[in-house]
Amino acid sequence: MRWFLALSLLLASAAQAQEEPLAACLACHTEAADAPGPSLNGIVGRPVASLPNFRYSGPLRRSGIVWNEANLRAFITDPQSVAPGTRMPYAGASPQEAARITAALIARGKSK
Amino acid sequence: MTVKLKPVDAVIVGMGWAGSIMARELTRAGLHVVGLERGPLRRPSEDFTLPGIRDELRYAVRQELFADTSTETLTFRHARGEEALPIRRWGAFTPGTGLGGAGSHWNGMHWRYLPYDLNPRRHIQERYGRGAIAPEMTIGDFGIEWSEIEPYYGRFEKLCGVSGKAGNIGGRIIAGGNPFEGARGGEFPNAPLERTSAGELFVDAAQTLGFRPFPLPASNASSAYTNPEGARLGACTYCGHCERFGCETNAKASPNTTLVPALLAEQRFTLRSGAWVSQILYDRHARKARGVAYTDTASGETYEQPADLVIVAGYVFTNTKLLLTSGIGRPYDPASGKGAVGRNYAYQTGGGVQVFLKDAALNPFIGAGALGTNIDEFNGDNFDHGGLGFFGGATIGVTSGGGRPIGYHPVPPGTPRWGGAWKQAAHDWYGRTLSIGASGASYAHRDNYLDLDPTYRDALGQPLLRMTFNFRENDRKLAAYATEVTKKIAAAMPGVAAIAPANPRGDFHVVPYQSTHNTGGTIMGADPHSSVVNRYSQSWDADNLFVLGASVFPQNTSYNPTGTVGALAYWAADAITRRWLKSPVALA
Repeated sequence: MRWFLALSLLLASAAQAQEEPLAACLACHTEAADAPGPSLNGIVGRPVASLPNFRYSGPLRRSGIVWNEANLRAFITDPQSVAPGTRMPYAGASPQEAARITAALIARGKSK
Repeated sequence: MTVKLKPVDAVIVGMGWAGSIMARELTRAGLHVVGLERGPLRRPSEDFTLPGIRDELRYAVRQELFADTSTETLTFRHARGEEALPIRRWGAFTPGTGLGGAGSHWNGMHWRYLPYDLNPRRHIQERYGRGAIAPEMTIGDFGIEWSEIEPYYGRFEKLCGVSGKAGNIGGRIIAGGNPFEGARGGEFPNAPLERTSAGELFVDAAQTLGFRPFPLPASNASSAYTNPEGARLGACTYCGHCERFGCETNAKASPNTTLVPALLAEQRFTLRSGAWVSQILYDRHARKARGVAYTDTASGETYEQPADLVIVAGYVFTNTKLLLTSGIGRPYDPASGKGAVGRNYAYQTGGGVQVFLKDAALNPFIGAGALGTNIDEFNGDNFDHGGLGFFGGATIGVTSGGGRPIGYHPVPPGTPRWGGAWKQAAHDWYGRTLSIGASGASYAHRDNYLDLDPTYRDALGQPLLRMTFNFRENDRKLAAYATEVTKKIAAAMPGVAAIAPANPRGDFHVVPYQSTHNTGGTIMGADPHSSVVNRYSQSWDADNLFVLGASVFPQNTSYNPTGTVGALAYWAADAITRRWLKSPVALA
């Protein structure tokens, strides 16, 4: 029982560390029905604006993007340059920070 | 025909900060609660999103989130004997409507009052003598001690994820925070926002003069935050569209983001928007509120909502008007000084300077509603008022709220009002100007009050509320004194090209924006003849009627009132759920 607890704590803290770069993202990108941002679960490989229950902006819908590491990194660095007029209010991260966030999104996709 | 609805445990008038807090606490205690909101439903995920929310014309100029003056407003005059006229466009102040109330379009300046501010009459008499307060200055005390209210300030800060730096934790003064604040239980939930270069200039100049600047407590989250209700706030992006706008990142705390999700998930809570309450149903003989009457603004149908507990939690004007039109309490009469409802209406005074710098790149488009740096050396009674001829003070600082294109184009005095020279000056000075502001207290005066207008009526046919107000000697002297301080700070800045002080306070004017902080009308006190509610916000005329919001403030301080509105709502909620529900009698 004790080893099980220790293991689950370890796993939980590993998951937490993995999620750490996403803290700012997850404030809006939740699973709630009225979340300001769409779910990030399985975003890598997903065609843009494809979740049925989120009202995406026209510019994002028309962008034709399928999310991969490169375009996610570009989007997180400067959302408005990738999809001018997107509803995402995030002003953009530094290229280094965007790389960390993208890596965390990819890792998240593998673990879920 | 009026439809009589099924009775509920509690009905709440107004779903802004105070109403939402009370609704949450009452449902938590097991009560079935109906929340009535005059305006529309507002959902941040739909209504406060990019790109539309950063439309300065729509929200700042055309005032989309403010109360609709075509259906209800107030009339204004300077003095008794004058004819009051209706305010048809908000200017000096900007009342809200809709779910969240003004809490959805505020800046997020989230202050605690100074301990002095809770009981200034007692304090002034102790320090300056019993005769120090002129008879016409009708200031009063909340009758609440600092140690009693402090935990409730803390709760409200945690709800909002306030960004700031403590200056006094448990009596220990901490460098970088406000050394004058009352002892607090702990640090702010979030670190301060990042200071702008205008703020840095202020810090340097203030420190040169020996003052101790600190970050203004901001309900603009500096980083992502999950509050005790499980609501998530995003990090502020410094977009410069705060006051008059909703927030697209949920960084600015509003009832809509911090409380409403939890409330709407609550089975015991029912929200009705477009429900304009016209009357509190009052049983004069039993001295009980029986519920409220309201009109559905979409259909025009009228309803009666009976309830065991009635909470009036509208804006200052709504609360005062409802008590007057419902015949609860004795209306204030300035001629005799008797009566309580409408008494001690107060606004705010202030001053400041615009500082034009020879060489600077301040990038004023970077901003957040409460991104400020202040000093409190001249606030409250933090300085000796002996011989000054006024009481109260001002909090002085630089706020970088965002220099938006329509509203912000500072030019030095002497610049033409239009044409090529104006355009050139607007271009040259946009990035080289900052303002040092002094937000000053306004102390109650026997001739400043609210009553019902004899002429003008609202869309439901009820009299409009009438405001009789002017700046008094105390306001004018305070403003002049504070403006002198701001001039000294400006002069201590490097590379100053020009300093333009604000005009001295003359007559109050309802057109230019000054501060949207109105207080009084249903004030708190210890005497049922001169106050409307006791220290728990409970009506003296009905022990099941509670009034929440800044209408219970006996006078106005220099600070923005929201922090105290929230703290008093939690304080009253605790008194109701811990004491009143067990024994529904007068609590004081």
